[in-house]
Amino acid sequence: MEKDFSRGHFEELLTERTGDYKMYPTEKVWGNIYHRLHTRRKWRFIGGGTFALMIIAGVFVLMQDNPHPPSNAYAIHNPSKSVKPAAASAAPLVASLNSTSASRNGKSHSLSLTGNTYLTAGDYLLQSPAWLTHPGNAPMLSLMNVSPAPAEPHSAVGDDHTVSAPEGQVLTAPDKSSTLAVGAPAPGSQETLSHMIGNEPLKRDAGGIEKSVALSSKPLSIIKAPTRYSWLFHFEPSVSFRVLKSRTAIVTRGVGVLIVDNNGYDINKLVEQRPSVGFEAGADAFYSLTDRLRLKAGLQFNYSRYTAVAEPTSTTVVNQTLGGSGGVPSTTYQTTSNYANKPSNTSIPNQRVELSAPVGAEYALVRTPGFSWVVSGTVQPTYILNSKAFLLTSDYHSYIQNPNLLRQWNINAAAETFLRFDRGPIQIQIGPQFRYQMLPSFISSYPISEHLYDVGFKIGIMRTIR
Amino acid sequence: MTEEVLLQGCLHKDAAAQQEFYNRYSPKMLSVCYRFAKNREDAEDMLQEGFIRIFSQIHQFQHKGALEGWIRKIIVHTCINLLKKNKKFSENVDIQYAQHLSVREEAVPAVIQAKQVIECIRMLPIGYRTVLNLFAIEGYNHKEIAEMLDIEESTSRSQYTRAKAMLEDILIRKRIILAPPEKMEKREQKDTTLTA
Repeated sequence: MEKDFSRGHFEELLTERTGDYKMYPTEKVWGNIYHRLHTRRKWRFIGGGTFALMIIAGVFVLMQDNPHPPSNAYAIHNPSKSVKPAAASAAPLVASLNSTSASRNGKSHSLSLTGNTYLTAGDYLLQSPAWLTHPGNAPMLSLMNVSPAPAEPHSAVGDDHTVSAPEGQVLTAPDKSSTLAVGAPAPGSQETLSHMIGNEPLKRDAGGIEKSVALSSKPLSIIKAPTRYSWLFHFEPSVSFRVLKSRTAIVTRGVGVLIVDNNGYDINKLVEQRPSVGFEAGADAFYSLTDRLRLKAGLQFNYSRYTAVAEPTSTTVVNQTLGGSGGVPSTTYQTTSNYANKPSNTSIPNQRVELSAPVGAEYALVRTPGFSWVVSGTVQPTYILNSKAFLLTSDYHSYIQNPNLLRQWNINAAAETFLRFDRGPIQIQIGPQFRYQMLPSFISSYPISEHLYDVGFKIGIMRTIR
Repeated sequence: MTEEVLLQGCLHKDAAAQQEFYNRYSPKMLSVCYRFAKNREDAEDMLQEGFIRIFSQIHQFQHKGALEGWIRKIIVHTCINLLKKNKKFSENVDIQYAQHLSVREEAVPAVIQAKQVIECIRMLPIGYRTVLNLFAIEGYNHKEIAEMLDIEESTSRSQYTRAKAMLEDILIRKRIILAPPEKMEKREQKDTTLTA
């Protein structure tokens, strides 16, 4: 109590009494400062990366509706019908399928055609129902040239049938007639003629005909052939765990002896930690090498969380030692801690956001027309976009935060198995996935190595690009 | 780390140097913010914004005075800006009314006298408290205070006079300081009148 008060010294009294007073802020304050100073760039990167991913996905989706016209064009004519409408029973001329609108119509279902029909190799294929049920009824297809209109346009006639030329072009009979160099599929064969034609253009004859008109003796159904490329969007809720191990020798005191464990020590016994729910979301592109084997590459985001039980304390100065193993000399620095590694009702959250580029392959163990059982594996170079981690001090007594010790790049490996259900152009896949972090979370000088692993259930929607 | 090493580290945006810098100066600065703020949460918000500003403007420190003084100046300006932004200056309490304010004993934990004094300062209305902090403790003159708070210099002077009187009254009631003799006489006369 101030016994000798004087008005003139009022300001001095206040300054004297309050000048050296100290208050210790909570951990949250430094965390917020750090994030504001160092992670805004990362969030811009996340936003930019997400936007780029959406643009790429959008381009791929749109490309399926607007395929580029190929260089070779083939026309199919049903010789059983005359182009010139001579009788009421004559079939109307079907619109050319080499236009974008027509190709879009024929994309997802069979289209029966009569009259002149122009196909684009690689996008369209021939599949006659008659071929599948009666292999002996394979049509004879005659090829005719399609070339630019000469000065004196004239129309060509092939066999006994009237053929009309594509607009601006004429048909001329080839020097020698040739038949379609494919045959009907063998009975019971999984390979259909449609598949063979769809993946290879009609074979040219020895004359090197670049463009031809194929004449069919049977009504033909046309469906669009799939390419080898597919696109998958996936989402996976997951649960994250971690494994801790000491890098330096741990000395424990046994009965009258010192026991030095140079191989590391299971620190998991010294801490109480609980897994928490995170998620994974991304997109992959596939390339089919064979019917069962596909290569894949993509981009994905992972959000991982786990919690550690800790007791809140007042701000305490603690020592943290780095190095001391692998030839690296040990150094000790002081920092502050607000959490002790003790049983408590409080849990401190650890979380991270990662961007990965998985590269790998999948193999279908079982494959039927509507269902597949697939196993897959990927290696994922990973960049840590954002992280909030509480680290154990080297004496295992306290938790501190030091983002400088976090490794920015890492590698994860993932293995998964799933069931894939075919629903036309869309395939749905569901199944479990296991993902393991190959490198420790923190730099090598930190004496404790931490490896995260996620277990989740993946749900994906795949679309084959046609 | 020496102060120069810390400064260099902060200039290079080294997170370890920034954290060490923060750990070294944040305890005192939080007490500065606490005198301006309504509660501890607001004080921590002021501290957070202040240090973000400090790290962003660290290159402007010209070594013309003590580093702590430069930091303190930024912290004080940040406190004022946040108070103005949140429009906390709407409270203006007349000295007559202030005399009837009851001192809440339970609001001031009896720990050490410094904390008691700070808590007494925080019991003042926001406008009085701010002017008193700036003039009596931080050492700004009334002209500077008027510019910072967008008020007239005469208003700053009158606010300070009232704040000082009110704080004195609180400190006397809390028995942190003794009343000057003339004031003791007036209180005794007042008590005698009431008893009669």
